[in-house]
Parts: sequence; C-alpha cells; structure tokens
Amino acid sequence: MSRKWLEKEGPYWVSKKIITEEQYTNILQLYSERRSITTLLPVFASLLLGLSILTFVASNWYDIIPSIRFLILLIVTIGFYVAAERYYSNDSRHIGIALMALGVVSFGASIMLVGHMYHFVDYDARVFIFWSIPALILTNAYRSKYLFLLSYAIIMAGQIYSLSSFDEISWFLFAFFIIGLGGLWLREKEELMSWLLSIGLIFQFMAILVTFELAYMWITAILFALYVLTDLLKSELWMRPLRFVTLISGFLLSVFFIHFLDEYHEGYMSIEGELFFPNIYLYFPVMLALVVLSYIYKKRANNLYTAYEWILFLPLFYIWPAGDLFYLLALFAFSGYTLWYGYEQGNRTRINRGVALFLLSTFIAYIKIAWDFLPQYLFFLIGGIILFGLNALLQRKKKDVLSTKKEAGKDE
Amino acid sequence: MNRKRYYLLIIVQIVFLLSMAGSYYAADFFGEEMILKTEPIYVGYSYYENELSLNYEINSLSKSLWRGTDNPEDYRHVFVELAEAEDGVYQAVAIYPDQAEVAQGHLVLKGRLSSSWDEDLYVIYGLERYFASNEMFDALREEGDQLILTVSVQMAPWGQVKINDIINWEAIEYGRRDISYLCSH
Repeated sequence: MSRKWLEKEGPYWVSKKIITEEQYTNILQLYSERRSITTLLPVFASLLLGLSILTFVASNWYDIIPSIRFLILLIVTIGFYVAAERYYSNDSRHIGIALMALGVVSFGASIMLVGHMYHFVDYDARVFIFWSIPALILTNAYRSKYLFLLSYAIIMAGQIYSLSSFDEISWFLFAFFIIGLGGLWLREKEELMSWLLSIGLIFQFMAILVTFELAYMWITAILFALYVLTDLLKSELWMRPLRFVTLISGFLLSVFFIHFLDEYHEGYMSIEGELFFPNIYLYFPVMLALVVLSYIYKKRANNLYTAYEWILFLPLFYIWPAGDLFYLLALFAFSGYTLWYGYEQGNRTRINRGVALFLLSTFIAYIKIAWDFLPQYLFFLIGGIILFGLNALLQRKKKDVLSTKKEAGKDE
Repeated sequence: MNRKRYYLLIIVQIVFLLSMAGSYYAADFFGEEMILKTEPIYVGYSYYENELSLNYEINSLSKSLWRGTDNPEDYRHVFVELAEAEDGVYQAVAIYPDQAEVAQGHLVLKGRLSSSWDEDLYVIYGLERYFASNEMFDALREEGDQLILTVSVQMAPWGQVKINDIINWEAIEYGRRDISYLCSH
C-alpha cells in the first residue's frame, strides 16, 4: 500500500523539484515489491502453527511426562515475559503490556497445572495469593489500566474461590486489594477503577460479615462509612463512583427491606436475631460518629443540603411493625429531596435523577400495595397509567422550572 | 521498572515454580509413606476426565475420638492422629484441635472439618481428588462400578501430603458386577 502511494506521489515531488529523479528511483529501490498477501501469509502460517502446538499439548497433556510438562510451562511463561520486555522497550508499549499480562496469566496457569501435576492440596486460596503478587508488582510499576483489570480479576476470583471452597475470606487478598489496587487508584485517580474497587470492597466487607458471623446489618454502617469517606476526600470526578455505589446499595437495601422485612419479622427468613441486628451499644455510637463526621465535612464543603442523603442509611429495620412502610417513606423522601434540590438549583441532571427515583419509588410502592390483590392485567394497566401521569407532571414542572431559571438568568 | 528488576521478578516466579516441583520430590525423600483405604466409591461418573472422588475411611470420624475440651464444631481445622493397623492400613485413633505430640510411629494429618452429623465428624484432607493415568483409570473401570481402593499417600514433615499411587483395588459384590462383562466400556 505504501509503495503504491510512493509511486503515485513520487513524480509529483520530482516535478516540484523536492527530490531529483535519481533520488526518486533510489527511494523506490529501498522498498521492494511487497504485495499485502505475502505479508499476510507468514502471519497465517504462524497462527495455524501456534494453534497446532496448543491443541497438541492440550489433548496430550496427560501423556507427556511431568518433567516435560513442567518445562513447557516454564518456557511459555518466560517466553511471554521476555517478549513483553522487548516490545515494551522498543516503544511498542501496548503490545508489551499485553504480553506481560499473558506472562502473568501463564504464571498463574503454571501454578495451577504444576499443583495439579504434583497432587498439591488446596487448603486456602494461596494459589491466587501467589499469583496476584507479580500481577500487582507489574501493575504498580507500569501503571497500566489493563494490568489493573487483570490483578483485580485475580484477587476477586481468589476471594470467591476462598469463600466458596473454604467458607473464609482471604486476609492476604484483602490486604493486597487495599494496598496494591487501592494504592494505585489513589495515585491514578481513575474512574473505572473507582467503580470496580467500590463494588469489590463492599463485596469483601459483606464476605467478612458472613464469615465471622457478625450481624449482617453492619453492612449499613460499612456503606455509611464509605459514603462519609467521600465527604472527607474531595468529591472530584474519580470519587463519584464510590458515592454512587454506596447510595445505590443503600437504595437497593431499602427496596429489599420493603419487600422482605415483614417476612423476616414473621420468621420466614432463617437468619437468627443476633445474626441480623447489630449490638445496639456498638452500632448507634458508630453511626452517630459517622453522622457527625459527615456533617462537619459537608458544612466545610458548603454541601450541607446533601445531608438528605443520610436517609438511605437509616437503620429502619429496627422498627417493627411497619418497618417496611418507613423504608418506603424514606425512599420517597430521598427522591423528593433530590427533586426539590434539582428544582431549586435548576440542575437538569439532578432533576432527571429525582424524577427517575420518584417514579421508581412509586412503582415499588405500587407493587407492594397492588400486586397481591389486583389481577395481573389490571395491575400493569393501572401501574402504567400512574407512571405515565407522574412522569408527564414532573417533566412539565421541570420545563417550567428550567425556563424560569433561564429567564431569570437573562434578566440579570 | 528497570530491566534488571523485571528479570529478577521473572526469576523469582520461576524459582517459585521450581520449588513447587521440588517439594514434591522432596516429599518423596523426606516424607513418610502411609496407606489409606477408601470406602466403596464409584468410578467413572465424574465430570472431569480420569478424576476419582476418593472417599476415605478416615473422612468420617467418630466423635468419640475427639480430644479437645470444647465442641469440635467450633474448629475449622483439626489434627487427626493415625496409627498403622495390622493390615498396614492407617486408622484414626484421635482428633485434636491443635498440633499434638503423638506416639512413636503415629502420624498426624491436618484436615478441615466439613460437617458433623450425630456421632460423626466429616473431615477433608485434600486427598479426596485424584487424577489417575489413562491405564489406571481404564483398569479400575474394568473391575466394576463400585470399588474399594487402597491408596499410598506420602506425608512430608512440613505438612504437605500427596497421593503416590493406587496400590490395590477390589470390587464390591453388587448385582451390577455380573452384567459388566456384557456391557462394553
């Protein structure tokens, strides 16, 4: 392709006296005729050859003697790593990182296959612990998002393995998660990392609660603590996912309680009292301290109006009877406040969010109330009408508010 | 990361893998052999190829062997003392909550308490899964559907256990065995 271009442009350059005729032919001679098919063939050939080797090894794996198997694993791992380094230092950074990731994966696969070969016994998630070490070292040294994803996958897979096979959380993996991944996150301040880390963190905290048979509802305190963390640190773009995840979790928990709190209190859920309710003398001081902290930092950042977000973390599960009703009220209050402040500030995003939340809350309330005694078609019909009506109303109000804000802005 | 550190990291990983392999052979050298027998197990019903689900006699232990002061169910890991019986097969003689000094000739296996039921405790040692070679697996399946296997296990002084081999097997006399000659495998 380039040669064609050269042949086309060359004469033009010569005519413009940029290069001489002789120079033009010299340049052309540097690049011999290279049709695209001839460059493609070797690639295909190597691909097929590679696949052949792969399938041969895979299908005959158990027939190869252990020592040779071991050698194969070593060669593959070293091969990827060395190739990665070569490409990286030759300015092909992306290929280098990709090969590095393959090297890490080969290392993990080698650990597992060697363990398998030599009948190693699994007592814990140590395979993942050892596997994650080079992954984390490389992730932090090269600050690569791709390697971050790989390390995250390894650690989370390790935790899930540890929980499902051994009913315990791996403290090493937890520490690696916080220090190895969290440390990089604080330095890189990247949004995707925030999302992944928030979800991973909440998952692991939940696992800790379950493993140590602590009261499950401590999760509300943990969520609230993470929420307050976002108050403490500046709420820049990369912190937003954490705030969002905690609020969403609080919201989902409320929805859960609206539907199932009555089942719990009526004894249908098999969680014992101590396993559910945290010790009041510990829980309330902690929550109070968090509220105070949140208040202080919100005031400092002039964000005090966002205090309504605390509603989602209220321990309403203590209230019985009608605890689920209180949760419903909390959802409406939260959506209502979001809408209110949206209108106040003329903030379109906030209003939209408020509308969505309000409709969602209405829908949840509607399900709770009407599902049991309305026939299905009627349920859906009335539900649809209510939601449409509400939406129309709120959108109209939004238009009004935003246009008056605009006019008010124009007058000034 | 400079080149030297990078290659050092690679070397560390290779050394790690080498030590994994090495400990296997070291277990042969430094460890002790132990013979265990399984309960009747089914061969050939596993999802994975050549996989055997070994259910040992010592997986199911009587609670009367418990030597701790509190409930065995409170513990996640237990230590089982094994002694060699007359036929060479090791049997469980005691269960401890912690590492304990045992009599000469007795071995201690670390296990994870999986569940408990009435009078019994179910303990897993990690030896329950074995991938046999093709020949071994075919030979076992030829014998019948339900077999009792005699397994040779190696115990290293650092606690590593591994299966050496299946040294004997006998089929259980259930009706299925008679027609097994008629069915092709």
